[in-house]
Amino acid sequence: MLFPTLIFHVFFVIVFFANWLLRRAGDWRLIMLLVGSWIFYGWFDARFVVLLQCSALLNWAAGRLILTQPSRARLWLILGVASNLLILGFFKYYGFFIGGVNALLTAAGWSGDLKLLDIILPVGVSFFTFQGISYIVDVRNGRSEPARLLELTFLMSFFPHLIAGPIVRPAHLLPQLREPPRLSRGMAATSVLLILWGLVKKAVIANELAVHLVDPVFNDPQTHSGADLMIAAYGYAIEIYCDFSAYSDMAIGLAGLLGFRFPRNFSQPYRAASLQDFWRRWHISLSSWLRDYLYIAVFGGSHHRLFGTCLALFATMVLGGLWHGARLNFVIWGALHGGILVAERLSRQARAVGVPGLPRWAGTIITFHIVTLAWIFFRSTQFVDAMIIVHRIVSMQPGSFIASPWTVGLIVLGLLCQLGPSDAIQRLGQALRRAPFWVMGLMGTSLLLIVEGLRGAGVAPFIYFQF
Amino acid sequence: MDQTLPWAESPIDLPDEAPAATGALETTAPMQRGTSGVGWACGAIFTSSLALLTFNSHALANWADQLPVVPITIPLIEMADGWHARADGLGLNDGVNLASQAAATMRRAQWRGPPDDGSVTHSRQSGTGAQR
Repeated sequence: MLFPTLIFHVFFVIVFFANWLLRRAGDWRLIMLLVGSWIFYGWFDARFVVLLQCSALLNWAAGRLILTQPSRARLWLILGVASNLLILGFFKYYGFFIGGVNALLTAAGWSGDLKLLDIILPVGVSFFTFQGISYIVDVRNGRSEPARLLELTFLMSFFPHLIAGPIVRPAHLLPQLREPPRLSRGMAATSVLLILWGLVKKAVIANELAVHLVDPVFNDPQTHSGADLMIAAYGYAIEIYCDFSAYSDMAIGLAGLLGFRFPRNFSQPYRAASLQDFWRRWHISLSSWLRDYLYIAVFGGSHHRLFGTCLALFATMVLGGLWHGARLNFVIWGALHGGILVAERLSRQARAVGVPGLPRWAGTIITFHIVTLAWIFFRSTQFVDAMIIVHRIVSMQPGSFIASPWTVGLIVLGLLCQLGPSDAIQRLGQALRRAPFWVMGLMGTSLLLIVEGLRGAGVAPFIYFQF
Repeated sequence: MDQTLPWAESPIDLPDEAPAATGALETTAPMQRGTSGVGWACGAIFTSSLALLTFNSHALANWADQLPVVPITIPLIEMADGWHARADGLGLNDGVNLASQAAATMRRAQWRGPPDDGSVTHSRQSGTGAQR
């Protein structure tokens, strides 16, 4: 069930009315939302619901054991995290791992015939596994109150963020489950605006760029000119931003209409003047998760000397790349980001001894191009394709050219979104909350009709569904 | 121990609804009488759903066309297609059709001269976006 579809519209309207009818019904409201979330998730594949339930049960049990057996808390924490990683590893990396082992065995002269299973990747497994890990780590460290089974299952299953985030911390959501929901006019207006703006970004900008520029160019890079490949690389930078931030905006807006406050996940990332700044603006919930639970908790963060800190930073980014999937290109993408982050850290050390830094505008342009270069590896199916694209761009090879004024216009529009005021949606929300409800309804309808006309046939799944 | 999500960390937090602005001690601002958005949002969603049913019969017809043809769905499909045809006849779909034509024109638009990078071919993908 995809957000920008009629069936989801009907589903959400039913859930919305049931949620507010049950607003004073305590746990019954949560149970209704939980069942709704399972229906939403089961729409993709009913078998995944069982996995989600088992995962929630496992994390709840680990949390209970940590609290009831303080002397063995560390053991239960390790077992809990390992179980989550095992689930993630089995579904996401089994094929990659067995393929690698087979290749090693063959190279060593053995018959590399370990069986490859045909495993379907459950949608959103990376997200709900991370939610589970953060719960048991936070309970162990006293950063979150223990949750009841119903609450934890809800935290991991709640449909707006189940498939592609944002990753909501237990400490941020659990207290909201224990209070009666509230919805001011301002919250409602801003939530509706986020959903509408998300639809425009996904259905118009991201879909059109994907279908008319990025997919044809990246699927056959050998035949396209250097200029076309360069525009397609910029196009992909805008496509992935509009696609992923659209999902986050819609998730935040949908949760908002149900009375839940989700954290911000994007903040005009291509405005960043450094890669460190970029990661404070892009997929904020994942980057802060990686910072808190991997960079600091596992690798020790910046408590080491400079070399150790740089190594921790690099390893975090490589693992962040690998989180996206078992592909060499994701590792290279992570390594590129890690390498530049290390270089930035070293340059900050140099600046401390008097070497001048870049002006902000130059930093923004350079950062955007570094990020776009890394996206080429992220988007390409194979390493060799990415290298072909980079080579053809650098040497400005001749070839076919399909970038049109429409697609270039969409890229410019996507870039302009980065330059506007960062609180534009909130300001508009403040203005619209004074309008009668029917004005909001008709305004939303007009925008939806325009989107319906502008978008091509069909709705492509969100890019981050595959992760 | 952390409390709930701090104010202004969510994009739906408006500055003048902050706890400090309303004098509240809690992290979530209390609501004044008459400012609840539930009724307002219900009205907006109801208006929007009704207007979409009227002016966007495309979506209904597309959804119905994807249903498996079994005895239970046949009346649904006929109803959706019938409403789509009637809405077309009444001109209710003109808004979406107009936007669709505008999009097709914009997609067809090409650069006036050849690009100056030495490219040799101008190829176009087919007009309406297919599924990726």
